Amino acid sequence: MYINFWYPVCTADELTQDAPLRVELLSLRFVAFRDTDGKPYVLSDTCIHRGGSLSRGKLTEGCVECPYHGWRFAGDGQCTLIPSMATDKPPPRAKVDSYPVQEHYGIVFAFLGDLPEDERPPVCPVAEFGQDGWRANEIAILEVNCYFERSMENGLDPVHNQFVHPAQGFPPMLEDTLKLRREDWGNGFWVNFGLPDLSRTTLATDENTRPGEFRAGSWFHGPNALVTSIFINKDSNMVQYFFEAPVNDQQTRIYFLNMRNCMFADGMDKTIMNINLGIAGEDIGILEELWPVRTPDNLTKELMTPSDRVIVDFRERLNDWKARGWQIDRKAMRADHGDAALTIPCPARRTSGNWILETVPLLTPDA
Amino acid sequence: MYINFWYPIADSDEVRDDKPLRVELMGLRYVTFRDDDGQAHVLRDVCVHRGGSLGKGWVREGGVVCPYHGWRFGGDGKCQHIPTLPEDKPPARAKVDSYPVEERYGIVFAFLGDLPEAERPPAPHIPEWDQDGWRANKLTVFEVGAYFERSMENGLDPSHNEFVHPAQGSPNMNQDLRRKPLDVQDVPWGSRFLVRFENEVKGTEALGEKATLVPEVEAGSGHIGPNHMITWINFSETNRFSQYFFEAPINEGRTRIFFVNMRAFLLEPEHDERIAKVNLMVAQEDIDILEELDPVRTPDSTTKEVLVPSDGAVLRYREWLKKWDDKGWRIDLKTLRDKKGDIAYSIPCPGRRESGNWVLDTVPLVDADTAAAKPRVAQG
Repeated sequence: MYINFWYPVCTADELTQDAPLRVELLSLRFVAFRDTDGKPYVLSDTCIHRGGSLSRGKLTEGCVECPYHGWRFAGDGQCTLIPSMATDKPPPRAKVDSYPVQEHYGIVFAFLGDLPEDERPPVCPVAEFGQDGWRANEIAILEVNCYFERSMENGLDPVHNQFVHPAQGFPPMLEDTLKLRREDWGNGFWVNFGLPDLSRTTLATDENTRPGEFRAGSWFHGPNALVTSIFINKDSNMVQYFFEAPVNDQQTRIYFLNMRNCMFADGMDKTIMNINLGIAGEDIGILEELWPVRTPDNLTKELMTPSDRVIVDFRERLNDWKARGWQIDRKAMRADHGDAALTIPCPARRTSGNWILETVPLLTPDA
Repeated sequence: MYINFWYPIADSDEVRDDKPLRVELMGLRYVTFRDDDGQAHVLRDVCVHRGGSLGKGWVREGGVVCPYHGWRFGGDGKCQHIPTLPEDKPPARAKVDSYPVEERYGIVFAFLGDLPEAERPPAPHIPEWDQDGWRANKLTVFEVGAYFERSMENGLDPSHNEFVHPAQGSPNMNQDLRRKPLDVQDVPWGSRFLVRFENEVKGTEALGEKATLVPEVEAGSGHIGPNHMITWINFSETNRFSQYFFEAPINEGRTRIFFVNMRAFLLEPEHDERIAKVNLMVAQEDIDILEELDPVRTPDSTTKEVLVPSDGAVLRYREWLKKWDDKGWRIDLKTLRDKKGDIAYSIPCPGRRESGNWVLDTVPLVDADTAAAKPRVAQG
């Protein structure tokens, strides 16, 4: 698990001005809410007074109010009211971490880290979103009992399809067509498949999905966003975005956005979602049984083949981010569980001092 | 969690002479039972032979019998009978820790520690018990998924009421609390505070008009030792509640609370039930907060929190804990956790100071010198 990336926190609809929302991410609790203008905020959930859970409180005047002693925190994390103190101005150290937030594609993303704005990676772009000729499915949320890296690697793996998804008509891939791609925040591949047998799927009913050149590609963006693009024929394209939220080191919440430029007939939203959820269910059936739960930290503990190439690339990029000191030390974190309230450092920690909670332990490069 | 204090083990009614009861406390298991005279005993649950759980055995001839090989231990912890030995004289080292017991207020308390009698903190005391003009509710025992210090501090905190218990007619934020630090007084083995409420506040409807707080009457709370908490709610000069919470840390994330409510009004038995109901509602409001606190265990330094003057009694409680840390009475939770499943530890009983050859290792304690070197409460 890594700091300094954008994580999906909730859907835009889940976040209201009426009540705070608790979200667990990276084994920590966060509170999300909207102020009176509807602006979204994501804060560390632990009240720095005596440990109350802000998300179990309420929203008052655009601030989140701790249910224990009524301390109020504004969206910027600063405490604005301490009811038991006569002073109207709480001390400056009465503040909690507040994270940069962006809303895109119906999802609320928080940047969980302390990088200044110009050094942050972007939210994974969805180029097709809002474009003519493209249609988005409603966001689907998948809760999976696996470590997020296992799920990411599954998406970057072109070989599993014919075994895990036989009913979807996946033919074997044509290995000599594999092309790798490399971008600023991730790598991926394109590969051609043999002609699929669509007669076994609902897609066979659509004029646009007559088989032609059948190719697909997958790539990652940061440690936790995954894109799969499927050309059912030369023109009919489905692009699937998976924004992954590591809940903790064995659970992942996936925000799934399906874009397509074909199959616009009535009822196809539902049909496509059902097919996608069926396929996801097949992957989940495998992922939840993988051992060990977390990917081995060393390639000698697995036997990789050339078709695992992009997975190796993914791990190399993870190593780059680890070398920057962004990887959370899960073991140290577990050892402190229940004894220390930890938080991900927010950008404001670089500009002011006197923060109360300790920041999550990070692995030092080459440790 | 601390050795050398009195802990509530069980409701008296649950401790029987025909069947032992097993109880978890401070991460370790105990067995409690009554001998033929009805005297209650509390022993470490682990048979020193090959680890059987005495609490899963039975009571015979006033002793508890291990279900594994029938070894029988008397209330004093000494093995009385080993079925596989020909001569009926078990070796002297066949003994388990047995703890001093006091039974009062319908509760069996045990002193979990090895201090000689003269040095022990006093056994739990309810001065209102059996006094004219006072009535006790039936003992209530409830479990909370929180560390006991969190629960104790909640009771010593006068500023949470208006937020956590709004429907119970708790007072509005007392202006005194905002103006000046809490006046916390030390008492033997603990501390207490009283605050004066300025405004008349309507009491909870279930208790009727008599539970309306009148101005200029004091209410407050205090603690004795690390785990006994008392709350005084004086609705008026005559209409008073004294609430006793005897807390048993089950382990580092769970607490069992033995609650006795004493009252000086509504003395007819017919009011028992609704008073118990209101009390449980209020307790549940606290539990909902306590079970969500982060971290589970109170930080070991006040630099990890922002404390304010209304937390004065919480701070004083921590200063008392620090005194007991410095005596070397604090259990080393990390070592206990690391060795879980590998070592059967036991809290040393007073008998260990008089004889040797005890079989189980004593529970790891935080070294007094290490504790003394580490401030709990930041200065300034």
